[in-house]
Amino acid sequence: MSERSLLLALNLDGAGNDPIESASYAQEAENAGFHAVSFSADGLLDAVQRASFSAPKTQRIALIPVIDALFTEPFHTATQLASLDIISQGRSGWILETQNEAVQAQAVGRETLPDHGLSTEAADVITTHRRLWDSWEENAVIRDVASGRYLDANKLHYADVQGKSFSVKGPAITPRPPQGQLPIIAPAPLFTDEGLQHCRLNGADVVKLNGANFDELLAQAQIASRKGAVAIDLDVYLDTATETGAQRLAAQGVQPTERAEFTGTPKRLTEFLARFAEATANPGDQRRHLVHLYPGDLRVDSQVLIEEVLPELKHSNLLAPVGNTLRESFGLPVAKNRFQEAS
Amino acid sequence: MSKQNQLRFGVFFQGVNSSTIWRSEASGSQTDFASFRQLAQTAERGIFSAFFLGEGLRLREHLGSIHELDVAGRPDAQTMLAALAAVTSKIGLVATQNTTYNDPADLAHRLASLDLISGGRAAWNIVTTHNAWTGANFRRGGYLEHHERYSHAEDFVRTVRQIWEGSPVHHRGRHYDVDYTGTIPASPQLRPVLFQAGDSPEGRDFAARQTDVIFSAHVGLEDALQFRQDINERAAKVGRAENSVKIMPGAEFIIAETPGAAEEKYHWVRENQIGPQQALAYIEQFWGTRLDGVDPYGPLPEFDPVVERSSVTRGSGFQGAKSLELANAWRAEAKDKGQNIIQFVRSRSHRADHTFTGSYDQIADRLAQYAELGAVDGFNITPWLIPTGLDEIVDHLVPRLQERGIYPEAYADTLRENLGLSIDSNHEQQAIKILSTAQEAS
Ligand SMILES: Cc1cc2nc3c(=O)[nH]c(=O)nc-3n(C[C@H](O)[C@H](O)[C@H](O)COP(=O)(O)O)c2cc1C
Repeated sequence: MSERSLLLALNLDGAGNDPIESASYAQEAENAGFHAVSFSADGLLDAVQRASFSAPKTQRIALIPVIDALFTEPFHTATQLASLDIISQGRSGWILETQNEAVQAQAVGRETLPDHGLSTEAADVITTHRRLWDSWEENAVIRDVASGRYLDANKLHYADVQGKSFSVKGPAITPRPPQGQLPIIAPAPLFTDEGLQHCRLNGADVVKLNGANFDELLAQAQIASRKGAVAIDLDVYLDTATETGAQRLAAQGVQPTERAEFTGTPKRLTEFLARFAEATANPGDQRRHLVHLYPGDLRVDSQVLIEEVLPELKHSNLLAPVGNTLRESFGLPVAKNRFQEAS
Repeated sequence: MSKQNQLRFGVFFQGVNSSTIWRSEASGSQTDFASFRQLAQTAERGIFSAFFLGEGLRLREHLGSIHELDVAGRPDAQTMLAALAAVTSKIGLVATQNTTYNDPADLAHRLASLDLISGGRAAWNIVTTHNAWTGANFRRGGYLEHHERYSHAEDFVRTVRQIWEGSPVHHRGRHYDVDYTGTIPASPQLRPVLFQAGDSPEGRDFAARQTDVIFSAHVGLEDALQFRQDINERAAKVGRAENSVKIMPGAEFIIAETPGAAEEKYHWVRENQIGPQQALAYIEQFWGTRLDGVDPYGPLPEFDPVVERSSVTRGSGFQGAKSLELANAWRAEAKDKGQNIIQFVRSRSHRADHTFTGSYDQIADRLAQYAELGAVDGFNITPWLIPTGLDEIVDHLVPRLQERGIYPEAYADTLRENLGLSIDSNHEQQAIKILSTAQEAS
């Protein structure tokens, strides 16, 4: 059952601070069959806004910002993500990061956290998002002329989150997002017994694995996929007719990232992706798994991906269908509202 | 007529308020992107300078529970404006954001992002909402005293400006520190335009010192002229030129082909804005208790308010008032005018204002008077219908204003230019020079 289980996301930071260019890459990625594009935070324009700018210019592809969970306000990020989901009609998600660095902390007048506190802090922050996104039932706007009520207060709920380092009252100021709950992708080290959980009511939906060694990455992915959806990050430098990926990498002289680095032919990348699909295939589970590609050179590598890698993956029937929402693409069950069930 | 006395329009998509009609067939979604796009594109067709979004960081409550009677539930301002930047090309994009429950570094980054994403069309409408009730949604909780709201806001805005200028910031604040260096280059308008909304004397002084434009609540002609003078005096004290702080009051336009049709529409609008439940809720705010048994078509309650000071719908921005005095005055007024509760509330509501109800030509003439007297620099129009509420204004009023020479015929490139703003500090002039040299070079 190794068929059609693979999701592909393309990081668009290479388009820099030009939103029009980034949107045109998003359109190309959409036409090529990518499931998502991502926007990360480092030094560039606000990731949520870059994603949002691309929303009216695309129809099916998901738009996923990378957002830090430590030195941001959960109430604001929950509102922003819900809004992005509304604007894109269910095509957003959240790649969660914990940038536990002094620079980030001091920007907002706070201190870094002890390492052992990261998991519970991330869990509290995610719980806040989850509860705020549930705080409006889907049909809370009733527009009932007879009783003069626009809202039904019985369908609105206080979030009442009491985290270790903060509390949030709620309800949200934005109605329930179209997906109900946005898919949350969080790094594996945050998942602990007492902190963040995988596939739980207040947990993350997708565990993101990182590692330099490909075989190890596949082995980890295989284990993690028994429990739920998995994502891996990959830096890609692909060979073209005129130069090899390795040559381009050397010429760029960039710092190595914590991500696995792929250099080589499109064919070899396709083979690796097939192995990932194989490793994560789970006949008993609907959920699909994500490979998040960071092109070494967006212009060059996205072209190779679009012209050579994706057609081959489609041909081998490895690409999962692009759903109407990101939840659907991941094969996540419809998000039930905790408050609605309780009443 | 001189160019200086042109009027500019903004549109305020309120999202949470009692003046947006939700019960009509024509009432569209308050949340869908399509509504925002339609309104913004209509405004742009009418050469509006700005598209405004409001902010309220806690869902409103009435007598201790969620307020149900008005439109509510709005998308995040800057996330929405970034999407609107993709479907518009000239109109300014203004986000209301408060200085208490945002962090300066984060807000500076996001506003600078919006400014670049929109090609120099962003603005920040600065508000200082500080109550602890709103603070319950944030990490710091309600940490700011009422009297500190503007000193804190001023520190905040200075910090944001420094970040935009690109200098490393090491701010030691009373409540928190900020160490940060911005990473975003300047936009074609250098930095986002600064609006301010908040009417206290402290708020006005703050605006005179720090901001480019005031979003005011003074719309009647006399009131507007007085406010202009007051702001000019405050600005003069800090060395700013006359009329350099622009003023755009919020306004509601109810217009039609003929005066009679406009009057009819006026009544339709008021009836739809204020139904029996809304009228009772309005009175309840000041009486401090539910008035379930009270007939909205009867007189004001004979019993006295149960509270000493009104608690008013939380999040609506009203100030507390002495309840008994107010109740006595209102009962006398309603009796005098022979009004029942609904009639009284409809006539009392700040929106009962008739200033801009009339035929297209009447209103164009009235606006010409504002322009001639220099009472305001424009209006921030609050449509009572979403998303079609600007159609008549754009199709019928704007052309008449253009004929009278008091409204722009075309857009300039940036919001700053569209609002006729000059750069008034040496520092900013210096920075503009550097920016334009860099642009010429590239
Ligand atoms: C026309 C107008 C519109 C306003 N819109 C908002 C808004 O959308 N959100 C908000 O938090 N405050 C808004 N306010 C500002 C708050 O009322 C203000 O920041 C607060 O009352 C404190 O300032 P003050 O004491 O000077 O009035 C607005 C004010 C005015 C005059």
